Amino acid sequence: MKKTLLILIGIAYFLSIENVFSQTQHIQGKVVDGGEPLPGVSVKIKNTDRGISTNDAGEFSLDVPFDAVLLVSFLGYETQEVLVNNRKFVTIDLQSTNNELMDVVIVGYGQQKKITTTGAIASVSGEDLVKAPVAGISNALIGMAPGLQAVQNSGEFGNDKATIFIRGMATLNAGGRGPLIMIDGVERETYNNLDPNEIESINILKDASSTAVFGVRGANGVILITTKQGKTGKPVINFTSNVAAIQPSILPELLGSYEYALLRNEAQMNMGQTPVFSEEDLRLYQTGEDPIFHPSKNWMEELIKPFSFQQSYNTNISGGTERLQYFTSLGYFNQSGGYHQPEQDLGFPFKHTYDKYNIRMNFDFKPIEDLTISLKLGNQITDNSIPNGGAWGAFDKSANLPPMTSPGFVDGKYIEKITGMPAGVPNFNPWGQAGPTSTGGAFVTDDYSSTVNTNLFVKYDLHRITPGLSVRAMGAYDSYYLKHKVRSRYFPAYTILKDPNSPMGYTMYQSKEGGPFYNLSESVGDNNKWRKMYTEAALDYNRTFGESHQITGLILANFQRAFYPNLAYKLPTAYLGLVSRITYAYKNRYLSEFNMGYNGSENFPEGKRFGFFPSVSAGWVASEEPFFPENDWVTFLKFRGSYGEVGNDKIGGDRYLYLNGPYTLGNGGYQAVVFGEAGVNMTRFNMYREGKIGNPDVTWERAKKLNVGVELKLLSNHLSITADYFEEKRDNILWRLSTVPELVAAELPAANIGKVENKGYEIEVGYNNTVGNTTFWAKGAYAFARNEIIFQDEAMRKYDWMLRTGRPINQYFGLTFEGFYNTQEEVDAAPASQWSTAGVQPGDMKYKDLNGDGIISTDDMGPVGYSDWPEVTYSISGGFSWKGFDLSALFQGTGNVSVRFESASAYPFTSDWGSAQKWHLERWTPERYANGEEITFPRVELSPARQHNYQPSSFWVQDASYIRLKNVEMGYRFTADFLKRVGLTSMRVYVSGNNLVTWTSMKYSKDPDARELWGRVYPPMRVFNGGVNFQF
Amino acid sequence: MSMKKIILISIVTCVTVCFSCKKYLEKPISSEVTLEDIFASKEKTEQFLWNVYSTASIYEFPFYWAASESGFYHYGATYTILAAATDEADAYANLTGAEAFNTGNWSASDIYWYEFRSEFCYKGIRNANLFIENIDQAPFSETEKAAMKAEAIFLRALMHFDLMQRLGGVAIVDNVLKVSSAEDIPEVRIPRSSFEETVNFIVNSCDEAARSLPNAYASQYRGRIVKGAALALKARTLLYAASPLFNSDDAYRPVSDPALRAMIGYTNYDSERWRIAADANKAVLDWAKNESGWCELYQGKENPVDRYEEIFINPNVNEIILDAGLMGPTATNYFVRFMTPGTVVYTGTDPVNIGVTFNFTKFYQKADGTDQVWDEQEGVAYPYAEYRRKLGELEPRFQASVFQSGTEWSRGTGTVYHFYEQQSRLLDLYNGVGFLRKFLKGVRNGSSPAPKWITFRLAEFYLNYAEALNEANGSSGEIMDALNTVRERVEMPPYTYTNQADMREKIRRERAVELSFEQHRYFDVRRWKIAGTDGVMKGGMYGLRLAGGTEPTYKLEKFEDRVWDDKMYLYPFRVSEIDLGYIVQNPGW
Repeated sequence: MKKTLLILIGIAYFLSIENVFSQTQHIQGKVVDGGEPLPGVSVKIKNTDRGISTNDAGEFSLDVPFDAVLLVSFLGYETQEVLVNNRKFVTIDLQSTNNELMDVVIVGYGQQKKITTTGAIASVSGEDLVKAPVAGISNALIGMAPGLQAVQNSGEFGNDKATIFIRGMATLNAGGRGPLIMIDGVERETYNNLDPNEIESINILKDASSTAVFGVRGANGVILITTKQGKTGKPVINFTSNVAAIQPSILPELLGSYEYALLRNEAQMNMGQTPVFSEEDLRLYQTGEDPIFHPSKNWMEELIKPFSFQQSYNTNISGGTERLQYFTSLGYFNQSGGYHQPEQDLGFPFKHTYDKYNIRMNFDFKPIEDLTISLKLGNQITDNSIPNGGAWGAFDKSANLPPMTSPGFVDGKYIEKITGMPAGVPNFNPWGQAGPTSTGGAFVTDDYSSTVNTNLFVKYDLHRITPGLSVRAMGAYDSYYLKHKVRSRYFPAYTILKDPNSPMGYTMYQSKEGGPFYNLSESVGDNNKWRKMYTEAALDYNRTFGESHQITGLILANFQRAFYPNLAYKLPTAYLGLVSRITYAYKNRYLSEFNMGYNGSENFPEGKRFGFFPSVSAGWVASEEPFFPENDWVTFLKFRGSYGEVGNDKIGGDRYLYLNGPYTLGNGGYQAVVFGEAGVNMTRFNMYREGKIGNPDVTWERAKKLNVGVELKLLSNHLSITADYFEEKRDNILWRLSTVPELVAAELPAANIGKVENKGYEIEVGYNNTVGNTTFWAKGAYAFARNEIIFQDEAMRKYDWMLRTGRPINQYFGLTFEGFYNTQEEVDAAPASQWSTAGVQPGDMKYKDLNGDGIISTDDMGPVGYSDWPEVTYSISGGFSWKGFDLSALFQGTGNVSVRFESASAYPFTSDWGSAQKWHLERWTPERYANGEEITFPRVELSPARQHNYQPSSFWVQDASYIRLKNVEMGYRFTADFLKRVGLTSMRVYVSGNNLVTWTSMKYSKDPDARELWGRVYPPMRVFNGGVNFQF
Repeated sequence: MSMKKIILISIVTCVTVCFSCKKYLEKPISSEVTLEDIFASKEKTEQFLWNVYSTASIYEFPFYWAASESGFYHYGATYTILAAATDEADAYANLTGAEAFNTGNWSASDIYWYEFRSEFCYKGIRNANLFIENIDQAPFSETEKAAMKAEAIFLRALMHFDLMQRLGGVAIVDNVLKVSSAEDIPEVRIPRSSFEETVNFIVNSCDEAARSLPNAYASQYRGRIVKGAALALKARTLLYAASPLFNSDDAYRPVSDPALRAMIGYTNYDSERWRIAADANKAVLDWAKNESGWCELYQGKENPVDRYEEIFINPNVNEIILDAGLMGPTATNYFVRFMTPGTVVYTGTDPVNIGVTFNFTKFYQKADGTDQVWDEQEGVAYPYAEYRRKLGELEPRFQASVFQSGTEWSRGTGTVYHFYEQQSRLLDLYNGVGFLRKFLKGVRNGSSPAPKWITFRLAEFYLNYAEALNEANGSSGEIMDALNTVRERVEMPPYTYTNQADMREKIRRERAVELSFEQHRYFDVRRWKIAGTDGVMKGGMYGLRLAGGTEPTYKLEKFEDRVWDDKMYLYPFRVSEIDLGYIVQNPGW
């Protein structure tokens, strides 16, 4: 890779070398922007290929013909033509094009001027992404764009990708809700591993107008990621370094042995049992004087480190000449040490690390006039080592174990058995609990992955046929490789006994031998490789007639083939499509656009395979009207609207939905068919099984989307407001038929039966201004999306409130919790309970008897809380800069969302011996009730899962809305004087923090975004980061 | 210019080529096997028939229940056998399906987990229908096709019987149901047939199958369905249909809806049904004797204990008309794990420990044909030697079926004691007088050969015939012949005829003992409508609790009070099916 880079840079310089032999004069000049020198500006002699770039001081010198005209161009500035006119020195003041008229936005298969865009598109700049000191792009996007909702379930290294939906959920299929994500015009699901320093911009396409071109794949919205390109000019070298301390943002507060034992005794007494722990046990737990046989361990703290380390570095070089521009970037990201190490030499590193390496090289060539060739090469390498099952293991163990099951390691030895603990206390040492066998092992899994993205793009300007016409083609090839490796070995295990004769009071003997590299396993499968090929070819037309009529046109064809070895049928997947777009704008005032995608999916039968997805949109820029009064209050006003259809063809991993699945031959597994004489010729016979049934009528899911929006700029452009309202009707949703009687007894295909409506709005308000030395800005965004299942082939339910239809997707259902029974009188009058045959008791939960039949049962479970996906997402950010200092902060939150936790992470004494939390101390007892203490938990019981109090209810389904101080950054940019002395063009130092504070009303000490029911996920990391950025 | 043309032309060609070539999105031709391929090949047709066998047989033993393996049965009370949900036995582990039945803690919403999954019956029926509808295309001779079709017709009937014995009249599915869109669903919501229609469907299927089935197969296909199996299914179906639960003027529970009344049984009593049942069972005995050329009561082995035991561990025994494949796969040891007395013989995880109840032990006579004197008082300690003596005196079938304390698990493995308070082995882990041993002789671990589960064996039809003939007031000589043939095989003294009522009791007792733990009594006590009688499926269950030490003792001890409700005479349909609105639920559920 490195070699290729050097060669390519070499070529670039070679191309820029000029040999000039004509009759010339020498000219010197300086290019400035209002006095500030502009380095890297292209100064070219018109109608030749000769030119040069300005140096750091914005100066250039060039031999030119006497009558030459200089073309001075620089990205973001208007190109100027300068007549040399015998002058020896010129000063050229370039005018910034930084006005809305010239801003462009990336759209599907092209780009458009922002002002004439009629679709609903949100943008995030690479600059903003870099601010978040987090591992993945999906996490950096949290709170960055209205309508883009990101929920980060886990903060575990390498496993912390956020789930992203655009404008909520509009389809029933869990596997078919995600947006289409493209990097540089090619679908690339591995986007999360990109280095934010490589990214120029991310555009989020939300409505039919912007997504229709993606046809059968666009219904869930589209995210377009564009990587950086080189800029003409001297090489600019950028270096960024970040070092951070990170920690789990929240962890459950577990009870120590003394409180645990007291509470467990209470639970046993509540159930009419004799308590396990004696007074003496309690005393020993309280004093801690017997750490071997009466230990008190917080397994969470034992396994998980309070702080771990994160670092990231990026260096990139960008520059180029007229003929070639390059952007190369090298990034490294690392997180390490989330878990404590066992006190054992395993013979291999028991490490917990996540490493990510990013390499990118983007080149744009112009070998001849009218021809542009771009080559983009990206490589993301990740290497993730997780010990002992990672967060799942650690949290599962911590939640399932009481604090007194094991002293852990004693004298550096792994203790598997303890003789002398109170009767009944189980023997568990979590250090060995998740090993390859159930005791005494440790293992490390190591996942190494490499993703290569390549794009080759060619564009040829056909202005000689007709102005404004061009043709382009792109080919892309991606490959992915994953190596999964597991190393494991046993500890030597010891049994510990009480020994009154030993000075230490205990003795131990080795009860199990440790193994050398026992069971060292390493697997590299074909299953972990894939490759993808993508090709497109297009004709573009873009011309303005008579200053007022601007017309653009696009026709594009594309093909994709991908080979995933795990695919059903082991055949490559294919997509094929045709895209077209026509736009017409009159004086940037009246805008109209027609988009269409015509594409096919292998999942559907002939005749239903290709779908046509049209959309129309229109806009009116009122502020461009001649009658619109020139004023400083309202400087820009645009109305826009769009309507169209988009499709979705995803339903999990099923393919060729229209075909009957193959019959498969097997030996019957557990239902062998065996004929013959025993002991003579008894044989097991192979048999063919029927495959799944095809649906000959299956076709794509259809989304009809309406969007209306208004864009407004006020107060001399200081204040901007964008608001959008949308409505989506999704039908033909691919969904399993669920009212088919069991009589059919076949594996049925998806059918186009679901209907979902999704409606909502987004508002974004921004303000920025400069007063004196101080520039300040503020931004607020609020998005709301609510869906409703209109139809899903739901079976009849006993009562209306049990119906899922008519509710949002993933609505929680359960009993309605109405407080606790406090007195015997209340209990006597209470309805019976399906889960409590002996009758409810004081301290039990009071539920609403919805059907009034005097029995609390599953029939009384109606909708409780909200769905697991937030309806509301919002963010507030702001900042200021003063001289070299800058400060910014981002708050982000969600609303109308619920979460349900259950089992060991939420209940005390699961399976009799699960952990208990601080929260559980606020349980109901007659004494606590009599004393008027705060009661937030029912009376405690053992093995709660099937008990009355632990049924799904509004008690367990809790409000998971939150507001979070997501990001704060404070920086200082050194002054030009200082920089000159140290030879840099720019230098900034900063400190930042991420996930700093979260406000939520949840009772659990868990992150509100954790969706795993049992909470077996690492919470998001809190990050304290410091960094420096140089440019030279 | 030429450059531009080339680009233009290439784009145009690209677009046209790709769109004219529709094959781009077509599934490439590959070697996947389709339904047509199956029935175009002899070998594959047979291999599909084995699939019908696999999914449409009664695998009573609950060896597997993973949800991921769709189409796999689990029968016989999760983790144990159905005998543990009758007065025959008790499973100690409280996670079994039997526990739910014994505590009355089961319902339409969880029945599928505790014992029986009706959708698996319909999976077998679907496979049978696929076979029946397509076998005519297969390259076999007409005779071969007819015989194979008859196998599928039999298996389809067997699955309908399996549904019927639990549910009464059920939806009869005699063709492959097709669904591809929501519009097709009403077509496949087939309502329940009446009980009579269901019985007739099974009987007619058996008649049809019997016409084409062979009497025997070549040695390597021993175990396939023979004509006798079709006769046997018909005979058992008609016996059940003639029994008090179904053949009665009164339903087991009052029902006002006449349509539902007809689904849970005949709406009147007709003694003619007993006569038809007797004839059908006689036909099985006649087939065995005159037609089969091989089928007879097993008479091998010197010792009657070994003789009886051999039937259940040797699949080559000629008494077996049909069995259902291995109980548990070759090396995986669910059978061992759930059936063996885990605490004394096998030390795997989660032993279920099936104990034989004292209630059931009382059905066994002494070897001389007289009753044992059971005069133990509850809670009183008796000398251990008395336990050994009294149990030791019981007849051969008890010795073969129950693993008592102080005996060997199998020859040469050493004497095992089941004492409760013995230091070395704390044995509070079973209820009853001893562990179940029938089916298990010598089984120690997963590599022990798994036995096959018997669906029909000839002895049943002697007892069926005796029962039906007695109820139909038939010839007393024939009744006694049938009953005593079964007794003689285990060297028990013959009975002499007394009267119909007394013979009814004797036949039922003989049936309990001969067919013990074979999944008969669970259905017998229902069809006889005696499940609600105290001590059968309701009330106190007793065991003999052993205590070790220097002077070992035993005590009669009630370990459980079982719960019964008359609605349980028939199972509920799964609530998920009821919610679809096409099935009428059985009364009381």
